[in-house]
Order: sequence, then structure tokens, then C-alpha cells
Amino acid sequence: MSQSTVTVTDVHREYQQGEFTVKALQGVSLSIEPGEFTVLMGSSGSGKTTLLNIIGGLDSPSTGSVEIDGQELSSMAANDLSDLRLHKFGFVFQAYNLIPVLSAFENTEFVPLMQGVGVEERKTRSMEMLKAVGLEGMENRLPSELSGGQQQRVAVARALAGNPMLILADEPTANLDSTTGKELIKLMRHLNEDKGVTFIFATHDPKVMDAAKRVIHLEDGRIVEDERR
Amino acid sequence: MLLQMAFRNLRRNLRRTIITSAAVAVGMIVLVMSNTLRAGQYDDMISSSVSQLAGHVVVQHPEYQQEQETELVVEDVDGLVAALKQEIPNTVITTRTRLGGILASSSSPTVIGLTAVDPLSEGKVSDMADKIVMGTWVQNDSKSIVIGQNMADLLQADLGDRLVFTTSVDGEMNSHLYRLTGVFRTGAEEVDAFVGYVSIASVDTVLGRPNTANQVAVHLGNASQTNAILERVERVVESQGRKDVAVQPWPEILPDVIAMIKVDQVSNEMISISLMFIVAMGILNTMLMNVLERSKEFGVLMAIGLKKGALVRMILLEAALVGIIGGLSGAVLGMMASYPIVVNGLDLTKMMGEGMVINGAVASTILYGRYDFLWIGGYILLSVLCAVLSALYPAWKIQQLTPVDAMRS
Repeated sequence: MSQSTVTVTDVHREYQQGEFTVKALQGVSLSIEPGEFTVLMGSSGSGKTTLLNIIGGLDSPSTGSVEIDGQELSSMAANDLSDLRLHKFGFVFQAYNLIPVLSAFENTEFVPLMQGVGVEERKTRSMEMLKAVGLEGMENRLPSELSGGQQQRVAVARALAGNPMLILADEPTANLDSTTGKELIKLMRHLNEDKGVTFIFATHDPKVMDAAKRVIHLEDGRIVEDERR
Repeated sequence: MLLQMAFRNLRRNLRRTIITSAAVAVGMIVLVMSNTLRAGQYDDMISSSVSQLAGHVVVQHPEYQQEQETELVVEDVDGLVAALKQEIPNTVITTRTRLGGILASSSSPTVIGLTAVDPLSEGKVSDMADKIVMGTWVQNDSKSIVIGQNMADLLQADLGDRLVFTTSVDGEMNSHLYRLTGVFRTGAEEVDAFVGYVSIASVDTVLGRPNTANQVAVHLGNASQTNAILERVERVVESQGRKDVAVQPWPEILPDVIAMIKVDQVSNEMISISLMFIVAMGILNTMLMNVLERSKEFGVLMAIGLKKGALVRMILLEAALVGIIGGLSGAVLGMMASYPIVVNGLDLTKMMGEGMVINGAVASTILYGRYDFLWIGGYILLSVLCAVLSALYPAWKIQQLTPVDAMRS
């Protein structure tokens, strides 16, 4: 049996907001297998983004454990976590979050550059990814010169350029029009099938849910349904 | 890539970058102008003091520096000068004896500080010979005397008039008759009313010690050779078997000048540091705003795997670039602004008269600047350092955030 890409065990996450304690996650456990295309569904405040952030090592659980490819995150130092994110994860955020001073190509190249990939391979890989997301010929444009959909495609290309084992996408279609959103989902599904990259989405977009192989429903910080398709 | 990003981030908010760099540049302009003027002033203070009061290397009685007594002399001056001329031919060697007394004309007497010199060599190094306004510089005879204009006015003496110099030697009063051959004007009243020059040969008879002098001084074209020449002078003195003399470089002869410059330098450095501190506060404010505005961007960078150390380096790099841009442009502008002072000088004669006395030597009141590239380079480094230091707090603040917190803010 192959090792799970992600194993979440009894994770709780509490925030202090003034005098109140907000329980964002309450005993979440799940495991994600390699090559899965999983959607975390739920209404706003259900804990899906918190769970995604904890899986991505961007946030820490109050209690419980998260293992990525067999490595326990809570025992890792900040720099090791950075390395883990750099080498194993790709992130796609709701608000594109590209580096505004870098061109589409440079944004895509940034992750392999930090990984220490050589110039030629970096260039080949980045161009390949931009081509895969349909941005051939727009490599030199700055994010401000691209539409929202195009920026999100660059974000996907950037997430893929580092050859990650897992892509975490938080509401990737939220700021896109319906057609662009559909195209992006199609693209990511294609990359999942073609390259075998594992995807986890946090979304309440039904279009994403329709494309998913597995849908995990969250409510008030708890998993209420885990549906495989 | 970090450098490239730092450059582009600065270009992204060009107006802010220009304003911040301009703050550094203004500080630099003030520092460079002030330093250029001071460097020139220090040079003038040293060169006028060395030429008028000492030499780059001085041979004198071991106690003369402390006591300043006319009786403390170097013996066989001619022999020493001849040997020095042979050992170090491309230098000027002066001999000086200083004595106080009364100078009297037919109408009135006055107190005088007389310096007996070898007129020819003294004329080559001391600019007193250039300040003659009437008659000529000291003649190489036993009668010639040159005095300041105020003293000449006080004595109501004209060229060719007889003046009697009286001094006490070993408890006895000795007199010598001079004729006024020249009058100088430095513009410094305390010099023009008190100082006179005669030939050293003329005081031999007054003092009863022929072939002696208080100081034998070696003057160099380049002060940086002082230590090398000092060793050669010491060798000459040693070869002559002289035990009763001290060979000293000019900083030991003119400690007050060195102290004055050091005190001035320290106060200048404090002003410089205060100025750069104010500039740094301005940069801190801008950097803090700049960094906090971009915290979401930094959060993304951390999220995709940029280590916090690299993030801090990028922020500090941006600040360093601001420091370099501001520092270099300020240095160039400061040098351009100082150029007229370097070439034409800053004329303070209307405010301070024609000359000013600094530690006993007459210095010009037209102040010439000199670019001190070592200091200017230091100021550029200081501006970069200030810029980097002022970015430490914003960088630390960002470093404290988790990627999620940074992206949320």
C-alpha cells in the first residue's frame, strides 16, 4: 500500500478573538492519497481554508498532527517547513498573489530558481508550464498587464513549475468569471491526470466540486461528509 | 533574483524611492561640503603651522619643546645643516632662534617676539616673505629687520629707520642696532603688532652664542614622507655623535594643532552621526510603511517557500540600494557644490580680516576646500549603513509574521 500524501489526525485549531475563542477546526482527521483531486467544501467559516493552511504548513494546529509524505510538520523548524513548501507544495491563492514586479515568466521561474534548478532547465520548465496554461507569448507581461484569469493561470504555472507532489488551491475560481473558472478547472484536472499531481481545493464553487474525484464537506470545523467519486 | 526584485520594488514606487534617496542625498551633501571645507582648513592649519613654527622634522634641544627658552640651543648648526643637505638634498632646511625683548625707535618702544632666521631658506617655506607690503624680506646681514605693519605704525618707523633691540641674556641686558628693511601685513593684529624677523647671523652677537639655533628644521614637499625623512635625520644626528638634541616629527612639535584638529573632527563626527540619525529616522518611517504595505506580498513569498532569512535580506537589500543611490548621488552633488570652494576658496576676509592666528601661526582667511575621498567614501558607507539599520526593524517585524498572518494583513 502506498504512503498517503497527507495524513491529518485529530486536528484542532482555535483562535483567540478578543475575549472569544473561535474553534476553526474540531478534531479533523483525513488522509489524501497520491494523485487525488480533492475538494474541501463548506460555507464561509466552515474551516476549509484553515485546514488547507495547516496542511500547507502555513499555519499550525492547536492540537493534533499533520504528516506530509510521512513527515510530521509540528516537529519541523521554520526553515525546514519553508523547504518543504518549496519542494513539495504548490500554492494557488484566491487573489492570484503573484509578485507584482516580476513578469509572468519570472513569477513562474521563481520557485525552480529558489529550488536551485539550473538556468536552462528552469527556462524550459517555466516555458512549458506557461504553454500548458495557455499563456504562450505573454511571458514578459507583468501581472498588472494580465487579466484576472490570466493571472490565475500564471499562479497555476508557478505552482506547477516546482514539480510539487501536492497543489493546494484556496478558492482559485472565486475571482474569475464563469467561463474562465471552468477553463482553469479543466486545466488543473488535465494536469492532475496527465502529470499525476495531487490537488486539494478549498472552495464552495460547484464547478470545482463537479470536477472533483473526492469531496469532503466541512461544517463548523468538522468533517460531515467524505464522498469519493 | 533578490537583487533584481529589490531594484524593481524600488522602481515600482519611484516617487517614494526618490524622496527617501533624496533625504539621504541631502544629508550626504551637507556632510561632503562640510568635510571638504574642513579638510582644506586642516591642511592650511597644518601647513601654516609647520612652515611658520616648526618644520616636518625638527632638531632641537631636548628641553626646548617644553621650556621654549632661548638659551636651549643646538650647537654647531652649520655642521648639522651641511650634513643634512648632503643626506637629504631635495629639502629645505631652516634654522630659527626665538627671543623676546624690546624694540625701540626714536619715538617709542614696544615689546617684540623676534624670530631670527636664515632669510633665504625661510623665504622658501614661510609665506611671511610674501606678505611684505613695504621694502623687502629680511636681508642676509646683521642689520636688517622686518616687522609687522601695526608695530611699524606704533614705532612710527619708516624703511631705513634705526631700531634698537634690547634683550636679557644670562641676566645682562644686550642691545643690537637694526635698520628697518621691510614691513609685512598678515591681517592678524596679534602678529602684525608683535612679531619681527631678523637674520640669524645678527643674533649670534646679541646672544654671544655663534653658530647655534633653537631649531633646525627640515621642510618637505610632501608631509607623508615625514617618517622616512625622520629616520634619515636621526642617522645624521647619530653619525655626528650628538647627544644633546632631540629629533622630532611635526606632530610632536605642534601637539596643540593636532589636538585642535582632533577635537574639531570629533565634534564634526558627532554632527555627522546626528545628521545621519535624522536621515535614518526618515528612512525608517518610509521603509516601515513600504514593508507593511507589502506584507501580503511577503506572506505569499514565505508561503511559496522563500525562507525568512532571504526575505530579510531582500528588505535590507532594498534599503541598502536606497543608501547607495542617495549616498552616491549626494556625494557627487556635494562635490559639485563644493567645487567653487576647492578652486576659488571661500573668502572670509570681510568677516575675519586678511589673516587669522591659529595656535601662533597665521592662516589665510580665504579657506580652500579639499576633497577627502577617504572620508567621502566613509560617508557613503555610513549612509548605506544607516539605511540598512533603519530597515532592520521593519524587516524584523515582517519576519515575526507567519505566512498566513502576513497574507491576511
